[in-house]
Amino acid sequence: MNHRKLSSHKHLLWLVVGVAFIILGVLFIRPPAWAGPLDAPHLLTTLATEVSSATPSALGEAPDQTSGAAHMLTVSDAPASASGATHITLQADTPSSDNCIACHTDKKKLKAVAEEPEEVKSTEAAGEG
Amino acid sequence: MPPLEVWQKVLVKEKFLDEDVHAEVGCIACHGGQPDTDDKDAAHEGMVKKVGANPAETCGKCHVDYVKNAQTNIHRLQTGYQEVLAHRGADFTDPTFIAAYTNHCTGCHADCSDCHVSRPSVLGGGLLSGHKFKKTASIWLTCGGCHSTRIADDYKGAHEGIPADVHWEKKGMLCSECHTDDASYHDGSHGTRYEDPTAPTCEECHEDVKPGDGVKQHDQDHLDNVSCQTCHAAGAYKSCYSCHTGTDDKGIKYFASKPSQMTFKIGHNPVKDENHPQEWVLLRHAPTNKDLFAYYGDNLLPDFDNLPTWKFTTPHNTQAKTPQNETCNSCHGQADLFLTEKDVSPDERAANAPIIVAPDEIPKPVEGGGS
Repeated sequence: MNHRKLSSHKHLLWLVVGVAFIILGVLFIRPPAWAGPLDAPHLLTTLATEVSSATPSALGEAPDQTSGAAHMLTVSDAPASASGATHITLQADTPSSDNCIACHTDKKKLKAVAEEPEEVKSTEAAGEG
Repeated sequence: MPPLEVWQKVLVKEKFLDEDVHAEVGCIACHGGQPDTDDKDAAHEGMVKKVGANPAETCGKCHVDYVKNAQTNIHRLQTGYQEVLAHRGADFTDPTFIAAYTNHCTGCHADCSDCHVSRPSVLGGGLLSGHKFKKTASIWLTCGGCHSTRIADDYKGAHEGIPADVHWEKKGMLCSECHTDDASYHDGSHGTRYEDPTAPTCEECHEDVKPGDGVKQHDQDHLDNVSCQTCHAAGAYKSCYSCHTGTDDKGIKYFASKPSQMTFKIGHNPVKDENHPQEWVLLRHAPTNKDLFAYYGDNLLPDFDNLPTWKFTTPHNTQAKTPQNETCNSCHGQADLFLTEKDVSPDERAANAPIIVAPDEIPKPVEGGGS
């Protein structure tokens, strides 16, 4: 009888520990840095810098025009890429950014490795603007 | 504003990593690049510097409405440039014109990160504050970084002999305290800045300005016909002339303009509408001319004369007392204050004909000085 009671208490104890473990897991454990991408769809971005022509309707309310120019320009989503990459897949929490952080928070290291970009100002340039 | 050292541009503050929600996803999630390597070149393989330049797929994943509305915003599309060029006959379907426009006009395009994370490229770029995302853009680094020579310098009193704007000098007001509406920053499909129906007006705050308020010049005639800045701009402001564009023998794009001049000219209103009903306004010369894109082809702006080269302006150097409002005759009879034919180069007179002031239109001096 006592043995059966003890066994039932043990089961109850394990059940409580198990539930508590699951709750703690949900609350505090985040996907580890080495894990694969989350289920959220990957975000693709086009990086080619360009301005493409589009009809005024693409701009919503088109500005008044007196010249009959039927087209205006829109801007495609177009950032500058350090390496000529053309698209990027965004992944929440992964992979680890430790190497980025280690360098980009360290003044001394940055000073040592940062290089001034080549001056691209034309000798023909004059005035302000 | 001196540019940052190259290492300063990319220095990330620990505080950003510890406290900012944007840091939670990690660097590579937004910028790409390679983990698990200490080699600089290898780590930057596939890295994207300006994540905010693709707002729909980055910032817009959380800030949905801001990004959706910003698709047609003046800062993003430069609708003001496009509208003015269209009025001058630009053909936005012509590949030659598009090449010129793309090379020389799209550099001022601004996306999310240009205001909220980084300094504008005209200041050499770089993080504003260790990658902190600033909700309100910095007055001098962000707004003033782009709108520098024609607004920020006036506002802070950078021109010798001309005081700073009273709103800055006495009240320390930031740009966003007047330019409050989202139409300026995140939405709105208007053309030039003066077509923004939500743009601030002086009357919104100074509602007590009316006939009988104790200021002699605040009679109905002046209030109806003269813009506030005409009397209250504290002095000259910048005009730019004769901009030419091209690419040099190394393929580097360039602008070449004549030296700017400090001018103060009153003329007829070129943008008269419900929001700007006054006949007499201040004008400044815009950095434009018929040969603006001549390097790229002939006659790319065939209707150049459709718009004046002296444009409506609202200098940000406001003061209550100014040289031209000291007495009646500080303005009346002062021909030099007005844009007359002699101020306009002969090849631009047709474009400016509607706003040039004829000698007999200059207000006559008031008898007795009108103090």
